[in-house]
Amino acid sequence: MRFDNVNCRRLRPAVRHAARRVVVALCLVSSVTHAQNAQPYAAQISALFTTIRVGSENIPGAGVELQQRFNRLYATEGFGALSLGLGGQYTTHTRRNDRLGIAGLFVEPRWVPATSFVDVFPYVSARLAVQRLTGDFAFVESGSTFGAAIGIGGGLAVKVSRRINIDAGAQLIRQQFGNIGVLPFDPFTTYTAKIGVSVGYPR
Amino acid sequence: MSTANAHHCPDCKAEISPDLRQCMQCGSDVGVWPESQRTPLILPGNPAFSADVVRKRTSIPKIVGATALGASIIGAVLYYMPARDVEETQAIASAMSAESSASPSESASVVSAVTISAPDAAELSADSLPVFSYGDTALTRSVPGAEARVRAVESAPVRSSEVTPALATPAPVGRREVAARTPPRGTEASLAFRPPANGSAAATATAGISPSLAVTPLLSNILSPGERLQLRWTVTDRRTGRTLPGLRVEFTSMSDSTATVETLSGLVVARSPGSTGIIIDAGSAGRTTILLSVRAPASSPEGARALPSSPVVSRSSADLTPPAAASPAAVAAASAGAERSEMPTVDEVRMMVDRFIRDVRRKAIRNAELAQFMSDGADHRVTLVSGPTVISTTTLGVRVIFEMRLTKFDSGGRPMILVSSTSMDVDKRNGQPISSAVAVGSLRRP
Repeated sequence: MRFDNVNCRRLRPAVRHAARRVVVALCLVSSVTHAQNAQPYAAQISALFTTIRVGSENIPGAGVELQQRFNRLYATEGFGALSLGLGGQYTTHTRRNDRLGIAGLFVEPRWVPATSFVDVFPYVSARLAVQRLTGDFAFVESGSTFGAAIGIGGGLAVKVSRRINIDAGAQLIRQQFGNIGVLPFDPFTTYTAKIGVSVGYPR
Repeated sequence: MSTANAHHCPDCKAEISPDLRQCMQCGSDVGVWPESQRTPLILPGNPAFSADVVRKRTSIPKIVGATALGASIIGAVLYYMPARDVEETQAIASAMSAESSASPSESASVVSAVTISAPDAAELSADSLPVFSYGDTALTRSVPGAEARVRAVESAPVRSSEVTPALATPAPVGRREVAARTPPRGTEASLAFRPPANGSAAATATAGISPSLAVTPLLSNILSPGERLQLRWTVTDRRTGRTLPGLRVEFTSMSDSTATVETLSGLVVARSPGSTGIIIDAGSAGRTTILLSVRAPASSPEGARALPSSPVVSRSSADLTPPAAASPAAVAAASAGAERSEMPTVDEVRMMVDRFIRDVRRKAIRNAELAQFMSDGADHRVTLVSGPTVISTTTLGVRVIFEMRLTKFDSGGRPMILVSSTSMDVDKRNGQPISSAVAVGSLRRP
């Protein structure tokens, strides 16, 4: 992955900021006890990092993801818990003065297997998304196109408190978009990683 | 293409309109890059891939902004929410540490705290009952009437309340409150000026540490002669919430004829009917007084008849022998020397068990394992699985055993089911059923 120097310099404070929060959160996790939540519902906000492949280039981008999770889809002691998340995402990818934005709606089922862990919950997840790719280019006409994405991955949810979990995960995503003007976007496989906080409700 | 994305002449760098084929400044032919050939810079091999001709745009701040927005929201949640939960966890941790500091005579297999008695409303009156409530929950349950006060005592919160002067808030029950706050003058003086017993005495606080005494609330403060009660406490640093094990705590009874207490262990032994206060002095960590009432069983006004078995703070699960299939009523009929009217009936036993289950559901039972189970997760449920079954009888009551099931969803959304065997003594005083010596067995998987 190649970063533009200007981008790197500007992103570093934000990355350090986020990393500091993560360290603080992990310290709290270790000292206090203890993403998918115990409560029937949960709202989750995550920072999202992904790449988009254009030609032979991987263009990294970052964004935000919001999702609403339904935690009681199916749960037994032996099976674990199956939950479903519905949400929206937005990432922006910039290379010099060309910018691509991907906005999407997704469905994310998640399975937390029955393990002996009580404060850490590994999970397996999948994602099906409908996306809209918007391009803003310097030398060709800007435009947008629809596409779809499907992915599978996993992650780790860490209990921070009775209602709050930290959720970090990564997925391998297969994405496909149409053309924007004369620009073709071939199907490509890339990754998406996220870290966020989920808050369960009601109490 | 937006009008903001104006292009530059490759020769003179002057800004040109995308529609022009000739530079208005130097006259160069710029039509060599027809619109269709101006491939975006995002593609490799672009002939215009030069920073000279690329106008800086504001898309990078947007990236940073989006990331910072997510990070700041996450940060705000992390900063705000854990702070409250840390307090809750610390309170629970305090309760747990108090539980773990129980008498060494406790069996390792039982993590139970024991309640000495759960008096009925009919036995209590505003004049005779010293009611104590520790913590804000009890204070907010200001329901008038004796039973309401009893419920307030029974449903005192799980978390230990700090008994600092500002927070020491015994429920106002007439003169009893005065008695609670004003120990005898002599006792007060001797406690206030007692020198440290050793180098690490209670009165000496380490620099930078703000110790605070927390006493685990009692489920009931009514004892019978001969009963023993283990007071539990913890001294924590107010700022960090950490337990300070080195600080010494001393216990003093205001009336040794009513109840005695071991100075260092906090083990109370009820002696004779009456009321007394137990002064708990942790030096700079604070001092508090709890009131106890010792009452003789109704069937033996003189207090001559000892209780069937001395209630202890906790009982080993080995006591929970296999239940004998006998109903309380049948046992009552067969008990020689016991007055039938003083034996609890099946319904009364069931009522006491249901009350206990309800208290567990309300998190009003001070037991480390129960508190931990209830402290996290969601949708907690407590149900009676089996029993109650009588396993032994005494001249005054019966001992029953029952099994309760606790369920919840853990933080991973997975259901968790645990069961616990619990024994309880049920007898009658003044015609009212009373439970005592409740021993909660360790939680286990069914």
